[in-house]
Amino acid sequence: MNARQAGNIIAIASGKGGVGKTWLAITLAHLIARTGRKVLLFDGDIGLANVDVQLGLTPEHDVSEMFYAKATLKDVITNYAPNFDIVAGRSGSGNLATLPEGMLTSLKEQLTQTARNYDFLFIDLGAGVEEHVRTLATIATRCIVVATDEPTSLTDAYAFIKLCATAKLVPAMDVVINQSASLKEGEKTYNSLHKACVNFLKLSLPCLGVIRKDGKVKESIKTQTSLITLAPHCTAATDAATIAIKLMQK
Amino acid sequence: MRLRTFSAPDMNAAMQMIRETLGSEAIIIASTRAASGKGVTVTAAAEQTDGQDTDRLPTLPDASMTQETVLDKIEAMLRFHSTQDHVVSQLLATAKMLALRGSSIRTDMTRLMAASFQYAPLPLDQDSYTLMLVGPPGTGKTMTVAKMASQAVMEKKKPVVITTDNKRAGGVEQLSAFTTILGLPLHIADNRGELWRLLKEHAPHSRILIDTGGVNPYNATDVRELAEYIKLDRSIEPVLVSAAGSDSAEADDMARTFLPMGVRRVLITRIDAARRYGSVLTAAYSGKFAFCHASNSSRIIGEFSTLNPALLTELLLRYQTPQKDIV
Repeated sequence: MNARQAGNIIAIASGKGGVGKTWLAITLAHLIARTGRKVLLFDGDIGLANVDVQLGLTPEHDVSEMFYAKATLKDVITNYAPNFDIVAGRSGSGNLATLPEGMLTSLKEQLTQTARNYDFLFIDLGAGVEEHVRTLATIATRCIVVATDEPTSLTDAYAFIKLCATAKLVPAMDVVINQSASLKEGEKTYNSLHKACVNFLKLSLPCLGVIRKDGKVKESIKTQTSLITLAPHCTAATDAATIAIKLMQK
Repeated sequence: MRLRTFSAPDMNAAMQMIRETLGSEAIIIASTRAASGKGVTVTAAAEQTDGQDTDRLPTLPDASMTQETVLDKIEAMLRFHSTQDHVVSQLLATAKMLALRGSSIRTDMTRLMAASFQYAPLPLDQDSYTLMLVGPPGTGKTMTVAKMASQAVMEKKKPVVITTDNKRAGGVEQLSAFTTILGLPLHIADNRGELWRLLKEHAPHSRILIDTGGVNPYNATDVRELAEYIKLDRSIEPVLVSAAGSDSAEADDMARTFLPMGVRRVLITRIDAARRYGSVLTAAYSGKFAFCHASNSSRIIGEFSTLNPALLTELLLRYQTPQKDIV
């Protein structure tokens, strides 16, 4: 069984930036890796890479070598923790839209290939809803849309969902509400987004979970450590754990 | 989509503002009463839609339109759900006794469901319990244990998770992945002696969740083994986990297998993945089980809905209102 066959290529999107997309991708990947499954996290925000920054890594290799130094995806994988590999981006290297011709197709092919060696592949998509952001979602078997209770986050998440749904880009989409004051508030936020999707798109996206606001998250990002290393039992980690369980349910 | 939040003295005024600003097609996606108690805050959204109908569930003709009497309507509905014959006749007899007036099918069904079945939620909010999840293979026992454990952990309570499912390939592995994520130890009881020891060690002041291997109701050895685990301690409550949408004749047999083991409650899983709930009614009727909870495979907030007559009725009527997400 590999990530492709098992339907475990998971893209994480949000539309709006700063809602905790990268943090969620890292945390879910780390949680699942700790159960002994092989996980690869690909930083899809190639030109504004964040994964390595959040994890305090200085990767020897990054994805830009694939575009400018003829490296393959395998060459630029960095191991972060047991069973947990990452492919870092490089800040300032331009975005997916500016890649040399044919590079994007090759990247997608190599990601799909490499997924065979892993149980889970997480793709942290960039912010925005433009085509070059969505394009990586096309190889995913599932897309998690992250939103917070801010109106801008809701409208941006909605825009992303709408674009993906109309083009039928991914087979399955779920919602995660992040930075919520409480589980109940999170449910309300989800309901707002859900109502808009049901009414306007005739689409019912399940809620995969709510993550409560937790000071430990900020601390983990500031200290450039995975939350699962810093505070594996804090509120946000527990909430993320229930989501990881959902993803592993088969 | 355009999103706007309005504050107004009352709902009518808010509606007025929404219509004026966003047009008559706008929908309300959230509303709250102002903290002061005066006025409301309403969030509305609007969008141009092309009005196309995407893939909805097949809509069946409303039974109330085609049947003449209340009893006929109820029977038609129970038959749609492929409920076993003896259960249908008993429910119809009860319906006659209740002298249902036919004000609305929803009201009548709710009364009938209230009169015909028992409802008893699990003591999940209490400080101590010993729940053993039992049932045939593949109904979602392990996932139910994982969900109950994660619910407890989210409430800052540490449950004791035990599994006796050591035979099935990957039985322990599946649950241990979940407990690892939750930061809980997984206790494996290979035999009755070990389960007894674990119970003595942790009872009586713990929330204990015991996962068991699937029992083939037609295999006497399987059935006897599980019965012996259950009999080990009086504190153990066996809870039957049954998946919605199974065959109702099989559900009947299954209920009769688990009844003598002391099962009193049934938890229904995957209610979102079924539209015919006759097997659920049949199992509860034949086993004289009380309904406790229902779970939905795609939801994590409010993991378990408490099954009550109103919810059961909504499920039975759901085939007529395909867009609604009930649980």
